Amino acid sequence: MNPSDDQVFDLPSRVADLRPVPLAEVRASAEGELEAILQRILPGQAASRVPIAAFNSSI
Amino acid sequence: MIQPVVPFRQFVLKVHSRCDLACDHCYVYQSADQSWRNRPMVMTEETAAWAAQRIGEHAKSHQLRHVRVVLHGGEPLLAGVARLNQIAAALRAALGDVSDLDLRIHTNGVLLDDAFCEMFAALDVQVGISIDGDRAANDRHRRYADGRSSYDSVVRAIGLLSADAYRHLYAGLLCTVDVRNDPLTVYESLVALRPPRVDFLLPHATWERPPYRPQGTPAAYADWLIAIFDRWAADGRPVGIRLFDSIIGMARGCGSLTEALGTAPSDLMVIETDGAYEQADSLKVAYEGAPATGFDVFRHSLDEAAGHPGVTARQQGIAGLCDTCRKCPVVETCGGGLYAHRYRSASGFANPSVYCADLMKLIKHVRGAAQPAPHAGPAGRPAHALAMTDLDQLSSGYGDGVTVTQLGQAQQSLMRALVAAVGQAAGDATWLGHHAQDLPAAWTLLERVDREQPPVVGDVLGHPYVRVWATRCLQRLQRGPVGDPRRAAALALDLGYLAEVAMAAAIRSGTGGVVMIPVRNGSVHLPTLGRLVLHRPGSERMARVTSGADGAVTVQLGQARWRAEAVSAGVPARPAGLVFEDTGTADWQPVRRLTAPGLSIALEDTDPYRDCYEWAAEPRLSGPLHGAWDQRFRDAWDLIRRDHGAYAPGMAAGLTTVMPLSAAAADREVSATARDAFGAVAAALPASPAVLALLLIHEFQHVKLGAVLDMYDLYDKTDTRLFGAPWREDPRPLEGLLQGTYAHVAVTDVWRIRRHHVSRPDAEGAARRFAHWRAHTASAIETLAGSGSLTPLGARFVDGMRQTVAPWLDEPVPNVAGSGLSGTGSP
Repeated sequence: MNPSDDQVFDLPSRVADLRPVPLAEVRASAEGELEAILQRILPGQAASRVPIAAFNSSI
Repeated sequence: MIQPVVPFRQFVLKVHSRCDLACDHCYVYQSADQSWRNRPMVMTEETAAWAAQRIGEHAKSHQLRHVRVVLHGGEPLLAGVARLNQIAAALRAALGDVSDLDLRIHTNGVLLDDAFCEMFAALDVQVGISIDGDRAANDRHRRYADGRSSYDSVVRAIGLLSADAYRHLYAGLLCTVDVRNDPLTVYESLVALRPPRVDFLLPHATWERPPYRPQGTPAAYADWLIAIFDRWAADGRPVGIRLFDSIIGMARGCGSLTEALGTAPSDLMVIETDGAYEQADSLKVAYEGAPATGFDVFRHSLDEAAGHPGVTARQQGIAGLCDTCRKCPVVETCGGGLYAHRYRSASGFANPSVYCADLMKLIKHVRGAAQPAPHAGPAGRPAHALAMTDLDQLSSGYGDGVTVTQLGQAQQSLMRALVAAVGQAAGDATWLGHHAQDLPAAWTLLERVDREQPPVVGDVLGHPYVRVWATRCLQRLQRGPVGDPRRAAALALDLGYLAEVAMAAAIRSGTGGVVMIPVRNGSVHLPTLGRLVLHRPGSERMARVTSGADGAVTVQLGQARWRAEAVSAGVPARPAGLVFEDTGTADWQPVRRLTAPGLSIALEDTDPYRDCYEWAAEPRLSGPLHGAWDQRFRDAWDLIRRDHGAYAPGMAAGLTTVMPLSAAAADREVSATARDAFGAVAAALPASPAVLALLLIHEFQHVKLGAVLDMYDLYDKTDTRLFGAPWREDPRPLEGLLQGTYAHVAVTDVWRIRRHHVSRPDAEGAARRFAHWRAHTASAIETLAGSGSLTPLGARFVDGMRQTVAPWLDEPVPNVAGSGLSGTGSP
C-alpha cells in the first residue's frame, strides 16, 4: 500500500459509541443507534445492498 | 459455483440511436467514435427480447439479487410509448423471478408527456432528465438543430414529473458542467426544480481533446464545483448531489455512487440498438471503435463479453491504474476518475485523468469540509472508528494491541445495545406473563451497577457468551408469542440469564442487591465468576441470590442457604472470585484461568451459553485436566511470542477466553470460533503446544475479522452466491470464504515460519504445509477479489491479504509432492 491521505483518514464505522450512555438511557436516548446496531448484527435481518457505482450518464 | 468473473449488474440499453436535440457537447454524436451512424435508429422488438433474455440468464447464473437497467439513447423517448412499453415489459418478464429490477430511463425530457408517464408508472420506470442549469446555462449547449432553446420544454417535463401522480418516478437531474456558467445560479436553478438527486458531470474529454479551461485556471472545474459544494453544505445539503455524496461516503468507508470516482470494478455493459455489446459509452470520446467488444446479444452470452480485455481492464482497482495514480494521496477516492478521461493516444488509458488537478483539489476540499461529520452516528452520536492504517494492518493479517482494543471497544457498544434491546423486548412481551415477573428487578439492579460502576458492567457484558445469549433471546422474542407452555418456560429460562449477569456485576462491584436466578441443571450460574452446583436441588426452580456491599453473597433455595465472600470485588481489571462456606451440600466451581507471562485468560467451562459451536462443549474439567490446559497454554503462548510475535500483541489485547471442546474424533484437531462470541476461542486440548499455538492464531483471525465485519461492510450482504473454497468440499457464502481466507493467511504464515524452526523430518512436513496453504490461500484471495461483491473497503481489505501472501509465493520450498492435507495440520 502507498502511504496516502486516504490511509491516515479515520474510518468511522456504523456502530455508535454507546459506552458513555447509561444502560437505563440506551433505549430512550439512543433508539436510532440501537436500531442501527441491531439491524447490523442480528442474524436474519434484511440486508441492504451496497450502493452501486452508477452509470455516469444517468441518474 | 461460479468462475471468478465480475458479473454485470448494470445494463444500458440504447433503445434509440438518434436525438431530437443537437447539443454541441454530446459525447454520442460529437466524439471520435461515430458508430451511431451505422446503427438502426430504434432497437427492434426482437433485439430487445434477446437483450432481456441475456440479462435474465446472466442474473440467474450469477444469482444476482439486484439488477439495474437504464433505457438510454440518443434520446430514448424517440422509441415511442409502444416500443418502450414492449422493452420494459420484456425486461420485467425476464427478471421477474430472478432479481429485483431497478429500471430507469434517462431522457432530455422534451417529448415527455402523460402517455409516457402512465406507462412508466405501470412498469415502475424511474425517470432522470438532463438539464444544465438556468436558461442561459442550459441553452449554451442544449438546443435544437435549428438553434431553438430546449429550456422551456425540459422544465415543462420536470414539472410533469413533479406532479403528485408521477413524483415517485422522478429520479433526478443530470447537469453537465460548463465553467463559463455561473455555478451558484446553476445550483439554485436545479434545486428550485425539487429533484430527489442531482449530479454534475465533467464534460467528456481526453488528453487528446482536453476540456475548455480559462487561461490561468489549472483547476477551473474544481473551483466551479467547490463553489457549489460550499453553498450546498451551507444550505444543509437540501438535495443529494451524487458527486459530493460519493466523496463524503468514501471517506466513511462507503462505496462510490458513480463510476466517475472510486476503485470499484466496473459492472456495466451497454447494449446498442443493433444488439452489440459495448463497454461504457463514454469511451466514444477516446477513439473510433473504442467501446466495441465484437460480441452481441444474438450470439454471445454476457459471460463471454465479460472476458473482453477492455472489460476486465476496468475491473483491476488500484492495480489497474498508472504509476502516478497509484502513488497519489487520494487514489482510493478518485480511482483515476472516469476511465475515458485518462485516454492519450501514445499511452492508451494508463494515465491520470485529464481532470486530475480538478479531482485532487475537489476531493481534498470536500473531505476536509466533511471531516468533522463522519464520526457522527445516526443521531449525531460519535461512532467507533479505525484509522485506515489500522484497518490496513488488520487486512495484512495482523493487527496490534491498540487496534484490537479498538475492536473490543466497539463490541462494548454492541453489547450495550443488545442487552438494552433484550430488556426492552422482554418488557414489551406481555404475553410472557408470570414467566417474566423477575426480570424488572434484574434489570433495575443491572442499571444501578451500571450507573455506579460502569466499568464492571462493561467487563461482565464483555464476557463472550453474553452476546450469544442476547442474540438468542432477541431472535426468539422477535418471533412473537409462544403458545406452547414448555417453549415459554424455556424462553423464560433464557431470559433469566439477565438476572445472572446483573448479580455477577453486583458481586464484582460490591453493590448490594437481590435477584431471582433460575436453577439450570441443578446449578446457579454467575457469568464470569462460576457456578454453584447443588447436590440436591429439589424442585425449586428459582434461587434467591443476595449480594451485599460488604462482599457477602447468599444463595437461598427453599430452606437451603449458602454463603460466600467476594474477593477482588470492585476491581474490574482483576479476576473476581467467590469463596463459599463448605456445607457439603454444594460445590462452587469458579471460572479458572490460564496464565502465561503477561497474559491471563478465562478457561470457560461453566457458562450455560458456551455450547454454541459446531462441536460439543467439554463438561467441567477436572483439576488435572485444567493443569494440563494451563501448562499447554503457557507453552503455546511462549511459542507464539517467540516465533509468531506479530500476532501476540493483538491476541493479548483481545483473547479473553478459551472454551474447551470435547476431545476430537479421529486424528483431527478441533477448534472453533462463534461469530457472536468476541474474544473466545474454543478448542479440544491439542496434543502439543505447537498445535495449540496454531489453533489459537487461526481462530483469533476469525475473532478479529468478525469484529471488523460488525463495524464495516466489506461485501454485499445481499449476494447469496456460493464460492469454492480450496480447503472445503462444500461451497461457501462470501463471508465464509472471506473468514476462511483470512484465517489461512495466518495458517500459511505459521507454517512459513515453523519450517525454519524445526528439524527434519518435521521441517519437510512444515514446508509441505506451507506450500499447500499458500497456494490455497492465494487462490481464495483471487476468488474473493473477482467476486464483484466486495465493497471498496472490502476490496482494499482483500488486497491487504494479497500483499501479505504475494511475496510468500516466491519463497523457495523443497520439491514436495501433493500433500492431500486436511485441516490446518499438525506439526
